Amino acid sequence: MKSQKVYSDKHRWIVFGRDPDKPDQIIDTNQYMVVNGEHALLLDPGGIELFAPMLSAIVKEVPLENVKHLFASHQDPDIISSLGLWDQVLDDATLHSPWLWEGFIRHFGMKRIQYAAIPDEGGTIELGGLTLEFFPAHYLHSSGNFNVYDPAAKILFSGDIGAAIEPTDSPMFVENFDEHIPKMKMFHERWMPSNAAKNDWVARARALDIDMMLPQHGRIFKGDDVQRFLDWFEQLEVGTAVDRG
Amino acid sequence: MENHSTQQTIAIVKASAELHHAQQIARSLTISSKNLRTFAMRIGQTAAGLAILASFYEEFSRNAITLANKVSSLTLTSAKDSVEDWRTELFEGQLDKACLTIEPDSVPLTVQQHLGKRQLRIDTNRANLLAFDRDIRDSLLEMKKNIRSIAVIAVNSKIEAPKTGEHYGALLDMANNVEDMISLIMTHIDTATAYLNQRNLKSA
Repeated sequence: MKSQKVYSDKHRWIVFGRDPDKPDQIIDTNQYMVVNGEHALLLDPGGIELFAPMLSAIVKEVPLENVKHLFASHQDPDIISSLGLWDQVLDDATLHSPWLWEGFIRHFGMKRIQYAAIPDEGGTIELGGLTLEFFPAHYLHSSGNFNVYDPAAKILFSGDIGAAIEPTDSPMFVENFDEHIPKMKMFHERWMPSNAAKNDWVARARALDIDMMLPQHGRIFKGDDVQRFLDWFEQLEVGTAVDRG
Repeated sequence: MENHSTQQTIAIVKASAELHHAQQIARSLTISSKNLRTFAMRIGQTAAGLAILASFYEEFSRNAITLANKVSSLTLTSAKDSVEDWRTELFEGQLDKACLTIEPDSVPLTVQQHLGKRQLRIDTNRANLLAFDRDIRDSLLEMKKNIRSIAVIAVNSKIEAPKTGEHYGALLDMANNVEDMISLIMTHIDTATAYLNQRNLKSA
């Protein structure tokens, strides 16, 4: 499991991913951690198959005792099926996740971690004085779904929005947006169900000040590529399986 | 922490993190050893002993890196194995619970077979853990020996320093820096060893 700092100032954003030892059949994922002083938030901690390399990678960055918050953008197994194992190693931790999925996510096993249900309209989390916003992204792709926006770092963790399916040796950042489009197209057309939800999200995202957009699969967008993505996504027709039916 | 397997996993992962930090510092030692060689070449015959020290230093720092890579890889493999055991233990716990609610004659054959192999799995894991423990302790001891040898070189560099004239201050700084790095590496190795000692292998 590789780890890389993507932002480092008064607080840090670290991406974990591109695990060369990952079983071939499971989709590659990016996990993120925000660290502010002695407070760490783990975003979309990953599937059960990734638990061991993730645990090893995290403790190289922060003491395990500092991880007090988890965030799951939605209920998918590649996002949070490791929950039952995190539940055993984290003391006094809280999982922030959509209210809609609480009864479902608990099926992954959760005895000790607290569930903090995020209402549909979103909310905030305080991480040692740093405020992060839960930004609604419902139906993109999950019916209860959130991104995380960091106004101080101008970073948007976008979950499955902006995702691309690529091999584990791919670069961490988008280098040529036009060449990147084919890697994202099918993912968004097929996994995203609603044009109305997509257009609403694009309009709200345009109002944010974003330097970097961090998806849960594929490459990170930075600078002008963020706006290029918003333009591309806005004109894309999604929910394509309906037309094929 | 809920159970013994969890504690094993946490201990090994924390040890792995400590050794990762030791490995990162060991990389800086190789850079420093190259700097010492450059110094020795620049100074020439007036500090011939320094050239010999530089070549030893390079060799020991290379060894330290090789050993650090080995222990890092060993601990990562062990961490993965430990999580695998832990998951199996959770699974067996669920099978036990299910069996409590099934008539003994009705327990599926595959479940019986799985639970029947439990002791063998536990014994095999214990043997693997003990073998890993021996390997990693041997490697850590060897690493410590290497680091101590580098410490001796740092001291000797300080002794040679007055012969280097205008380079005296820079050489002294370098030797002090090496001593600081060594001290940090030793701390990480000792902390890793303490984590490994937390694991009670007899009851694994």
